[in-house]
Amino acid sequence: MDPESAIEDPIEPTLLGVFGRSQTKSLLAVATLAYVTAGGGKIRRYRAFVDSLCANEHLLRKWGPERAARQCQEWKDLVPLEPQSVIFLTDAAS
Amino acid sequence: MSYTPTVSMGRLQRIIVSPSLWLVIAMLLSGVLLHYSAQLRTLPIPIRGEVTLARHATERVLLILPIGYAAFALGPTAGLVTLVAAFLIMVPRILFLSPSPADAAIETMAVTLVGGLTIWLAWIKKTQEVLREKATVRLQAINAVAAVLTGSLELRRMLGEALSVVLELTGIEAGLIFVLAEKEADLTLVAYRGLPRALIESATGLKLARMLVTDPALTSQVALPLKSKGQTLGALVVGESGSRRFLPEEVELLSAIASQMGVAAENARLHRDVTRQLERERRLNEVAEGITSELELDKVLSKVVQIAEELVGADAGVIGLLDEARGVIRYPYRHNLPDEMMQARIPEGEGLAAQVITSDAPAVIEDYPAYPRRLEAFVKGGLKSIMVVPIVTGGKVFGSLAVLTLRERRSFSDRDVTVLSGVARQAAIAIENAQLYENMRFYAKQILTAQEQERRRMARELHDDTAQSLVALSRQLDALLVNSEGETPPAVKARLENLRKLTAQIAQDVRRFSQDLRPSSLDDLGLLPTLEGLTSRMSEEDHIETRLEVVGAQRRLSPEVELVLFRIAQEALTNVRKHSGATQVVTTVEFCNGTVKITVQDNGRGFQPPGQAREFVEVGKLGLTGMVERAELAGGSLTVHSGPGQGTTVQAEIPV
Repeated sequence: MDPESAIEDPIEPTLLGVFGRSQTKSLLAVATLAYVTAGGGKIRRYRAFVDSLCANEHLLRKWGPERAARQCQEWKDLVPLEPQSVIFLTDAAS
Repeated sequence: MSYTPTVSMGRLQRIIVSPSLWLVIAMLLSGVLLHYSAQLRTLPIPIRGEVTLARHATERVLLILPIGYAAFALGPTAGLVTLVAAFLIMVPRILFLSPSPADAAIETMAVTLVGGLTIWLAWIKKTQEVLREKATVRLQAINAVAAVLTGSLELRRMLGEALSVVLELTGIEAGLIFVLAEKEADLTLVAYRGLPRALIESATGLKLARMLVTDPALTSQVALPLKSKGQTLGALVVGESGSRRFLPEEVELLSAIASQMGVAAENARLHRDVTRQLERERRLNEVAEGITSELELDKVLSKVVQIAEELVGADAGVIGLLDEARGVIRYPYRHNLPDEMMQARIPEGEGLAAQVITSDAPAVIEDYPAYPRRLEAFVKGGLKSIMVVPIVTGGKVFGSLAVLTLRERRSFSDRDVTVLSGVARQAAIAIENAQLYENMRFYAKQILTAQEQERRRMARELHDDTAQSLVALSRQLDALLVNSEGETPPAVKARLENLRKLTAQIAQDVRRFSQDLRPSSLDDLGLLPTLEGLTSRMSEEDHIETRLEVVGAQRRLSPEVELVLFRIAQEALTNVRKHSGATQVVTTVEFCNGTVKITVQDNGRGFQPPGQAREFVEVGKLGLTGMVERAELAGGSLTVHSGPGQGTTVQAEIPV
């Protein structure tokens, strides 16, 4: 899924349902600032966006750290990493 | 950061035309001539110290000079080239000519090392110069940005100009500045440069921010947070459409500028907050001033609703007043409320106003349509968010003040609640003042009524008892005079005659006093006949030409209004008689629609009245003060127009 599409749906509607319009706008504004300053490609920025959302104290207070982390991962999984960005970790010495 | 030796074509050209280069070459050639003089046999100077010359140590030491000169005058690279040249000059003697090749090799190595040391010193000097130069450039850039940032406190203008300076100094193509709105409600693009307008207008809000930073126009970019006191307030993004490697010192410079921008943005916000605070205080003072200068509650509370709306940026407002006698809340002061809400009937005990009045605590509903105790009429009316505070002072709750939004939902901060509570407190003081004023008016009316009743009783007693007794006494004196005709000595008769006249005079005075106290004709015949009697008696007794004019359809008024009008006219005519020196006075009664006006105008000497009717008491005009109070107690007003030599006009207007 394209990062912008993921933000528009399901992230924004999910937040609206939980936090209401004004709180959601505030959460998205702060996360978008993280997106802007993250640098790199869209996917890296999107991940910074999701990380910022899930680190937000309002969201953590409402959902708790576990649910926030789970939701964060779900949202990240919506936009898979680009093949060239995948780092394979192996035991073999390089 | 270090100095990297690089030689460009331009620099090479400059070196070639430099006299220093030719001096270095001359020194090297001199070294060659000295070093190989025996082989070249060209030296014109005979050299006698053959042993010393045979070792050729002196020339080797002299070769250090061109190396050092080249390193300091032309740069470390030139020094290095000269060192290589010097080494090459010395090598053939070591290999082919020197009788002591080991000594020659050691000397050559020593010269090379000293030359190298000289180059290293020159390189350190050059590096320091470059560092100083770069620090100066960086300082100039920061100063240039700082000058712009301190030149204004208007956020958009200030950051826009600063961005222009940044791009100009760094030579970067394009840039953007985003700032988080108050309470992080939005991320706004406040400045952009080097990007087409069409691109900026292709999206809005947060989507625009995400789109711009991934646009090909900013393929190579640096994004830096704008920070102040550890908080991120926004971001500075600069970049180019092509490939560009940003040097660490460039990023460092941009980072310093971004920090400056963060501080400036914070300052601009603080300035805006202070400005808003001052505006709030000004408006609160306006309310307070209105309350102290205006006793009409309607005007004050209508203004309070509008000011409350403005101060918290709401769309509409309403005041609910607790009617303790009936146990209901009335909503007489409303502003911008939609029809659906105006016509809504709120069941007793329900609604936010009742909740706030009962609990004496503010209530904020950010999402009214989702509020469990919502009123459907209000939802239909478009109510989105509402904030209600109690109108309370001294522990007494008078009602509630509410502001609401109709266009979109919004949150209300603690500061908003504090501001609205401050306005509500002023409203409470206004209501309390008005109630005290009403109580005062009530008691003043009661006192006047009691006074009038006592006057009426005294007038009746004077007229019915005292005056009648005096008339009887006068008649008895008359009879005594008639019956004792011829029997009474003339001196006694004269004294009886005086007594009779005096008694008649006293009876007349008592009647007049009785009339002044309360003319019975006012109750029996009404205002106009009583005024006729008053003015004609004035003509007869005081020899002042009087005229009574009536305008409009004559009719009887309520006894209270007739009494007020009569007392005002009576007091005004008394003033004319006692103080004006007038020869003419016109009394006009005008029956208007809903009001009656009475005007007493004389041609006397006049006086300088004070600016306001309330100030009559301060200048000792107690009669006029009483007239003003009577008019105001009846819900009307009284004006006095006068001036030295211009006569006086007193006009009262009373609602009927």
